[in-house]
Amino acid sequence: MGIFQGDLAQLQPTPGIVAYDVNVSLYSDGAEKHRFLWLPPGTQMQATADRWVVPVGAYFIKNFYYPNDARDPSKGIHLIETRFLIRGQGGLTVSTYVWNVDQTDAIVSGGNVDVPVRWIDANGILHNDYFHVPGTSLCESCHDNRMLGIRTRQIAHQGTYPDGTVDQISHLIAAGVLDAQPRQGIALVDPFGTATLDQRARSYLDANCAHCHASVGLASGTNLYWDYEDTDPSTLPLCRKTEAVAGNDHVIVPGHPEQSEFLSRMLDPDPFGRMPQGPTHIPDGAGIAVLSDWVAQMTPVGCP
Amino acid sequence: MRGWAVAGAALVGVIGTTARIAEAQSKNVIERHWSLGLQVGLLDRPTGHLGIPLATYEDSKHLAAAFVGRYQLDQRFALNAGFGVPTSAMGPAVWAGFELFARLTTSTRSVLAVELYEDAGLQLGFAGPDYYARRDNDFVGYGYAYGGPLAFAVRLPVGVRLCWLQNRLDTFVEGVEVLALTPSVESLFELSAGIRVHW
Repeated sequence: MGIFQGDLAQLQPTPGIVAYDVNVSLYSDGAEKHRFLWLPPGTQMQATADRWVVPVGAYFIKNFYYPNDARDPSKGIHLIETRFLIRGQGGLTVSTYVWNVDQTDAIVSGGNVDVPVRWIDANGILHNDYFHVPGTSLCESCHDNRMLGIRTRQIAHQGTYPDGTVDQISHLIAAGVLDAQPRQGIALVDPFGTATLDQRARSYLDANCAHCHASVGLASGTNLYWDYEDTDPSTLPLCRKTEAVAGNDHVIVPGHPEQSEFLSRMLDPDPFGRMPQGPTHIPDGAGIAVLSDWVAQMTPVGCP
Repeated sequence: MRGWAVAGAALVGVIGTTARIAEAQSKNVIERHWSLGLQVGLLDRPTGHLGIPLATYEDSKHLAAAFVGRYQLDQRFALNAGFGVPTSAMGPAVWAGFELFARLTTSTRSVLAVELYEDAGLQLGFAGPDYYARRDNDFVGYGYAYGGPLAFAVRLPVGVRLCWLQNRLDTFVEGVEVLALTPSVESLFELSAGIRVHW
């Protein structure tokens, strides 16, 4: 593919390829991800707003994988898919490569492929399942000609980098791929970390829901927005009536996660109704737990 | 499969016999060979998410809908064709069938006639996103309503038709068994109603 050098399975990026990470990863049936980007020489991303401007010709590369045993990194990983998003003149295009069984090469694919996977999670539970590599049309519909993770709120986090920088944005500036520090911005937090429950829940909703449920997005018509900014207490959909799922017809019933439609929807057996909408079939138990705790700690009010 | 074959053969026999009896009684029916119309689904098994939505939310019930055409060859046989969503659980398709029908009764001056028919045929269309929902419990996007794997299927519609106003139009209700052979073997059922104008 020209992105990695040497033994392909070692995923050593070629010079000019920059690794990056996001604060909150979009849930993908528990798969983990490596992220890389490449920009045409002489170009930079511009942090003029929360969503950065990406130059034409930029490549964003994402490897999807499962750890063979999440308790023991030495047991390696199982690579499933490498996905390319390319910023062209007319917008984003997507191409997908699926890794072979021997993990020696990835073959171009149109997507919509089920890849058998087997992994042991951090709790020692063995999973025998499959990972659904989405068709490129689904990638394009969610991305809607935008990069979802190339935003200040997703990139701004602390870390230690070989170039001596102590945060990722400074690291990207030092690498020459970002023009300057963003003037302002928020940063999402790890939903499973140590920040406040409110911050963690909002961060999860922003990363997993707001790419559609925002004033600009596929679900803008629902008037139900989950942006970090749009989930302040005054605009939360508390007691808002909606189409019932599993008998629950209020988006959020404060104090009652078991009655809140948005949580029922995350467990909806109908994949057309289940949220977040995408090629996933394993409910995100950890995410649902954070959101359930968030609703449970809200002051109960009787929804009419 | 053997049960279906036996049932199909029996049905053809019944309609064929009835058609021969009815043929002699229907010499005064005005011939209108061509007809065009619309049909909509009333009931799907399995249910799906393509066609006409009944509500704005994404997982609402949908009605299959299609354009249908018919050319009547004689008092017993006709050719049928359709284009549209054959069931809300499949992608758009085209289909054609060879119809055997029988006129059961005709009212005075042919204001109303009742016909029974079967219309075995073939169908080719997109498997559709519901195919993946059924198979993998995954939402793969509506792009698969007009792309992705093709579904080749055998159809067996059986229905009752009311021909109105000296055969100027007809309304019908039919049950359609769709046996998809690709991308995998599946049985789907659709109960439809429709209307056609004749000339």
